Amino acid sequence: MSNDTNHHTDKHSGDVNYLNFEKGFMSWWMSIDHKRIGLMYLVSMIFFFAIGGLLALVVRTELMKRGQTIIDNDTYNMAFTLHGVIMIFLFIVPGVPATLGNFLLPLMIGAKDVAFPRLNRLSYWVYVFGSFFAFLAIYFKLDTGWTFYSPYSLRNAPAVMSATMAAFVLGFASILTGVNFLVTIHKMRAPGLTWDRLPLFVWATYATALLQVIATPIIGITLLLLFLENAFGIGVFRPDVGGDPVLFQHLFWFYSHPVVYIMILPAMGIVSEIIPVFSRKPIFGYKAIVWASVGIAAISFLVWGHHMFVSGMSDFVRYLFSFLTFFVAVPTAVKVFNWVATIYKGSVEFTSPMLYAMAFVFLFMIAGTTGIHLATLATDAHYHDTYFVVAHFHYTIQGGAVIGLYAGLHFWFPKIFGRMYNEKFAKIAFCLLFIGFNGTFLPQFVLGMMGMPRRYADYSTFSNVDTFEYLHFISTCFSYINALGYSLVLVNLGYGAVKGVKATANPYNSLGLEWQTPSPPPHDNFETIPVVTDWSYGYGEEYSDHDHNGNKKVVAKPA
Amino acid sequence: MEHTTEWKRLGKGDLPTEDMDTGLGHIVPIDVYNKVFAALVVLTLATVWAATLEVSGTAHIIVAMFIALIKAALVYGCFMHLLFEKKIIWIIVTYPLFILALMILGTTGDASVKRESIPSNVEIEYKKGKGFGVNDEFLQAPDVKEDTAHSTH
Amino acid sequence: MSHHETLPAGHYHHLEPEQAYHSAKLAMWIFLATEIHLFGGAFCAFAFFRWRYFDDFNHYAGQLNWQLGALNTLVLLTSSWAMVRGVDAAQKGLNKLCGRWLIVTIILAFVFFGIKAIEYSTKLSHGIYPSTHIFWGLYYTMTGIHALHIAVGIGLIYWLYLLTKKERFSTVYYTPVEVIGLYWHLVDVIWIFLFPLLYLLGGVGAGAHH
Repeated sequence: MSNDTNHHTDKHSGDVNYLNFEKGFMSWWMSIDHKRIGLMYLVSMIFFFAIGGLLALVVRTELMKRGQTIIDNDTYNMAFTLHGVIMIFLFIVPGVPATLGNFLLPLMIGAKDVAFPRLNRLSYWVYVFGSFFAFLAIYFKLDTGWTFYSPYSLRNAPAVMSATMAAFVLGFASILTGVNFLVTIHKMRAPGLTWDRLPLFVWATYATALLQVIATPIIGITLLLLFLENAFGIGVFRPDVGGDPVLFQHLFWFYSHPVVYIMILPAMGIVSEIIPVFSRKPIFGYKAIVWASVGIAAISFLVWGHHMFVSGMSDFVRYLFSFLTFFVAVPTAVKVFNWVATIYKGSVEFTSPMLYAMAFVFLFMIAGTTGIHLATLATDAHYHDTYFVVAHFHYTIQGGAVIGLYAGLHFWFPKIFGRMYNEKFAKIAFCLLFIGFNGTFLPQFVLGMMGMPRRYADYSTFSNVDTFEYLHFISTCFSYINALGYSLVLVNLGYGAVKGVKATANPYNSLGLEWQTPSPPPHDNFETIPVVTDWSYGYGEEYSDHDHNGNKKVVAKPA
Repeated sequence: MEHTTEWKRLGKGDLPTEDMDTGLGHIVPIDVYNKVFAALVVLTLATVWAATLEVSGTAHIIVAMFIALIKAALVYGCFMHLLFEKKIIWIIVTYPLFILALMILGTTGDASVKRESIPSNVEIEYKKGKGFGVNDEFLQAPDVKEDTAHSTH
Repeated sequence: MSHHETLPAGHYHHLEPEQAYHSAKLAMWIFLATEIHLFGGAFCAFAFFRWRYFDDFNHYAGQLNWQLGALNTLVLLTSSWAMVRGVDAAQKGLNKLCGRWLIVTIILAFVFFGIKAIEYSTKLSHGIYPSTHIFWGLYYTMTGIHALHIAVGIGLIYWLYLLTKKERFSTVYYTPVEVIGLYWHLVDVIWIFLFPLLYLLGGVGAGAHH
């Protein structure tokens, strides 16, 4: 074992743990335990994921046939808008950091909690408060698309004001989490846990937290300006008084491009944790992955204009953004190479977390390569605002971030709940999900290339309406399979959490610090803070005298 | 206030973590604070005086921002004790300035662009049917038939 | 091990006092960076429109009362100085003196509010609303958000004052005072930039381009 800890944990495995040491609703709502907060976030987010998913099914059902199928055009506009708003602001942006990040970060660095547990609790309360405004936006019939472009977003003030308020408040929760995580990682690492031994999930969370604190305030001010534009007519985004809708786009995308990296970096961190465990090999290129993670956080601020290629920006700026967008693919490519190199010649076990992790790599490759088509000016002029873009971002967000989240939920499930889900059932659900997802979105690339615009309730006036209808129909059928897959996953995990077989502390023989605690961990995580002598990827190297950098392992005495 | 022996020593040991520190904050002599305050007042008056000079509007902005930067540096350095802080705090202070510069340059650079419509030669290519899509037919303007048209409001 | 809920405020069972102090400061500095980004977006919009409507902006800036603006700047600078004197007193464990300086800070903050209220009411009574022109929209927005931050600051500093009454601070524990002091100084720095940008745009008096 490369980490020296108290080993009497298994005797007390799951007896008194964070789930049962205090009981009652108030003990959860008022809890400052990062594990409970992470779990509460998870439950809330799954709820919103379900609502967002239902809205997606409504959208897909409407598009299945030409003309009106189940809802009229105005309702359709509301459906895709709310699908976007809920999925993005209430589900995937809090996403992995709020759930697995909260749960795992202190465990992975050998701390008893985050730096500011009460701030953590406040962040959850703020999230819940923000969600109320989202419901208000539904009530006021928001239909602007999740991007709130002006001048259309100036035509329904109550709805837009509610939605911007929701996003602003939710952004505040995001910032609080980011600050907390940054200070935790800087100040609370266990003895011996130097930066070059930090688990990759922690590095990913660190890069994500940097993005959260830098980028989120900018959407805050942008939406605040939009709010004030609707409330008082300050004029900044109103073309008829000299305001500029493109300025809104600039400010909006300045945040919204980095936010996609907030969504994906933690998921990549999860994949970096899972693949070595089930390949029984150290991660290939640890340093490269670290630099790629931090590098992508930095480069992500330089490419926002690629969402605006056809908005009327100057040529020079478009060349610049296109050029820089090609760069942003490089760090991810480095990571994909390293993940594949880790699996290569490893002793691979195809457990459900590993299936999800490998699916991530495959699906994100598709996402990334189609992104290149969108980065290229000439093709983007054709693809902008078509289904090609829709397919691309669903591959990145769903095929990437959501699959990554699910990989993590499966992998750390025994740690979180102290029980195991049904592995066979999980694999079946995974297959349905994988098939359903690809079947939904692959046809959409073709639709986009043929010119099918996004956000259109109806396509019957197009000359190749027959082909469109055929492809939409296929996409919709597979979307039901996709939904079925997700439902089965949630049923399986839900059942396993309550009635699953009790799990041991370290069912996968992983070297991570979080696995050196009982399953589920006690409220205080560690009885004594562990001392770290090496990184957590030393599969096959555990019994050597030297650490992965070639230095002699020193067991430091805690002072 | 004494801390009880119950609190275990954390984060220390033979392998110190990177940003260890000993002791609490720096105490600055009061007359330094007073002198800096006096300087800030003087600089404020200087800002106003500079605004009365007969120079171009751009020059006014440059001078005003320059003086404001000096005042901010004084507040940060002395009142906020930045001069006595570790490197990481300096990074946290300076990094937003790069982001701001990026944001302001990226947007203001677009401020003088006239939003023009698609140039006409592209339209001609469209009409000739020289599309670059998988299926050229969609580039022909469709005939909107009454019975398939969907009424919207 | 005592239950975390019963420890004195600011002390967590998992952080040593020194660690807690530096962590709190680090957190506040990061938060201040987020504030700079928040105001930065507004400054960005301001720069954008100033570039586009150069003469209009000069013209409307001339309608602002630069004397009141300058006075407010001095008021805020003085409050910043009072705050730093308060932090200094807390660092030396002088709770009563600290409390007095905090009261001075709060009073000056209210003076700032009063002057701002005079300005706003004058403008509104002359029919200058946020919708009158983009300049005014941005003026009200930026000074409004700033004023909100002052209000929050007053609340926080008053809370500190209540803590001094309980003799909470000492030479080894004054974290809240220093950390809230940092926040207050940032609010001051933002005004340091707001004042010339809004009030002195295009010059005043002999140098005016209005």
